[in-house]
Amino acid sequence: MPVSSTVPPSPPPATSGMVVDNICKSFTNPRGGGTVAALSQVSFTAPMGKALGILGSNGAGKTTLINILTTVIRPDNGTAWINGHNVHNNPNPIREQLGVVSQDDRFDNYLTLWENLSLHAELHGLKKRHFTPHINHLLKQVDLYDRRHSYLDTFSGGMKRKASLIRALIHKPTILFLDEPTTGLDPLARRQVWDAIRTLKEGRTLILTTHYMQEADELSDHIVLMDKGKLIQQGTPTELKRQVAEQRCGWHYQLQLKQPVANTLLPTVQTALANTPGVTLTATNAETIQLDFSRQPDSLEFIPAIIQHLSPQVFHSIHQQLPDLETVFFSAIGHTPEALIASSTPTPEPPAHE
Amino acid sequence: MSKPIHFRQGVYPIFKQNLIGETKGWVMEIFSTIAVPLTFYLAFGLGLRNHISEINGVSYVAFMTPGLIALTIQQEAFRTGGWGLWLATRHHKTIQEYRIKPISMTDILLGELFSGFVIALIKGTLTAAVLFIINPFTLPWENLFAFLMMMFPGAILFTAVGANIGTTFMRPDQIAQVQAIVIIPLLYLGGLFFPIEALPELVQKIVRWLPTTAVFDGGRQAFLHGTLTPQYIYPLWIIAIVVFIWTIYACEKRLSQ
Repeated sequence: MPVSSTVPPSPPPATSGMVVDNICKSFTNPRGGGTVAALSQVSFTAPMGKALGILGSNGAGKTTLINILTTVIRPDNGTAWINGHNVHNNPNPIREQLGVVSQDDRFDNYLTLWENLSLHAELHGLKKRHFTPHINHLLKQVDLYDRRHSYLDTFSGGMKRKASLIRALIHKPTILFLDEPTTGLDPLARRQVWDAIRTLKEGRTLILTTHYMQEADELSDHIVLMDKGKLIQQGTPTELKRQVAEQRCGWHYQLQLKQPVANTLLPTVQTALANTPGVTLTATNAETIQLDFSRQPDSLEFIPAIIQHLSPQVFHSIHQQLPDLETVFFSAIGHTPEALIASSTPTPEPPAHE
Repeated sequence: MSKPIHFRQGVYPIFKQNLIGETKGWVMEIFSTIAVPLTFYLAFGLGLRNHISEINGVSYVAFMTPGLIALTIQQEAFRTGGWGLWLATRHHKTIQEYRIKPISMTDILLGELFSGFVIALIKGTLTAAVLFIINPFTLPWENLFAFLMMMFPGAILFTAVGANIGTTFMRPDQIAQVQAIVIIPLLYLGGLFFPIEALPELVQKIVRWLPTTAVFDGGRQAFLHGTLTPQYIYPLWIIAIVVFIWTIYACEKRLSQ
């Protein structure tokens, strides 16, 4: 599994990707009353070239973690390395490799898109003759080329977010941080931003924080689940879903047919499952038969058995029904949504960084 | 594509961006810049000129003119330093964006402060041009250097003071309060409309220590007579440089948190 919680004891080599080692961070409570722990002993590693989703509810510590990894704030304890560079002792080489799309767009609205983008290119030390064709290429990729001389305050939320994405990629970074990139966008704009991210992430490591589970599912190869400043689970989306499916939802499979003969085929499927105890069959519609196991099947041998008993003209597919990431998340934090709502109490205003 | 990081790589791009931003809506910028000095000129300069014969050997209009130019420079220096940095930090949040670039916080602050300083001088020049057009006299060019020697430290000082206020307070009304309680009295007690000698002796002693007195009274003497008063110019430059350096240090610390 590319994401792991084991961390090398000494500075990792330059090709190691991102290594986060035992990071802790607290903030002074703005309303008084001591400190609020934003991150508590967070450790993980992420290899280059993959998309890592950091998932958690508001206040989970995602933005604090991003701010630490992007060299903006220092951790109280622990450290992080990106491609062998210590994030805090040596920030400038890391900043050269980072592109960051923050939650708020952070543009100078009194300037045009082009003026904003060229400023940030110059801050990376790039010459106009070098960055002009690159920015034009990026603008064309996300359909903003025709708006390059428009002021940012005339842009929609989705357009601003795409502009932020271009700004983050001006200097061709190897790592792209996306901090809740679609928060506040309507579903159409969200889809457009996802498309832009898919187009522009090629060849880069993507670190995505979000509280939209579908977004993490769509864009991430691996997922880290956070709650109350702690890392609580990690794995690929499918691994995480399978764990929860097996722990909490039972074992359910769907047999999809090519023809509307589900009721007719029930006895045939029953025969195929003669050696598989504890399974109940239900024709949920004319082309689907559901298989509900009362306990975990001893093996997946029942799948070839079914395929053998059905003709290729009838059999379409069979797959395990997995929960969505939202169910995975609530399972990981040990609550149902209903229980969380019932137990929710007013909390102090979060610190500025999270 | 990225190249090695150069010393102060961030200063010029930020400086340039702020200047470009200032040219947007330039018609309104011109009117808003000259509105205050022109109003004072019309209300006091023209309104009182027949009631005040001469002050220190010059007409009241001539007495006021260098002060109005200096007022524009100080006000604009405070506005660009204070409100400019407040907007960049709290509203546009461009400072936070700069912080993930391969530049230092010192670069960011130098870019912001230099641009504030230059914008203030440009607007002072604009005010001077308008006042000279409608005034019966013009600038004694041989005194320009002396006048600028008094204006530069004033602009540096007020940009730096503005930057401290703009990075300290969270809300815009707090900056407005500081402006009303500290900046306005500082500006108007410095001998802009009256000779310092007209104040009661005790008040005079206090007012002579104000940096704005050095700017207005010292600036006037430089403008009208080409003289640089040692009791004004040395303390003013020293205060401006000390406050500027301290501002870089304090703002850097504040914005890094």
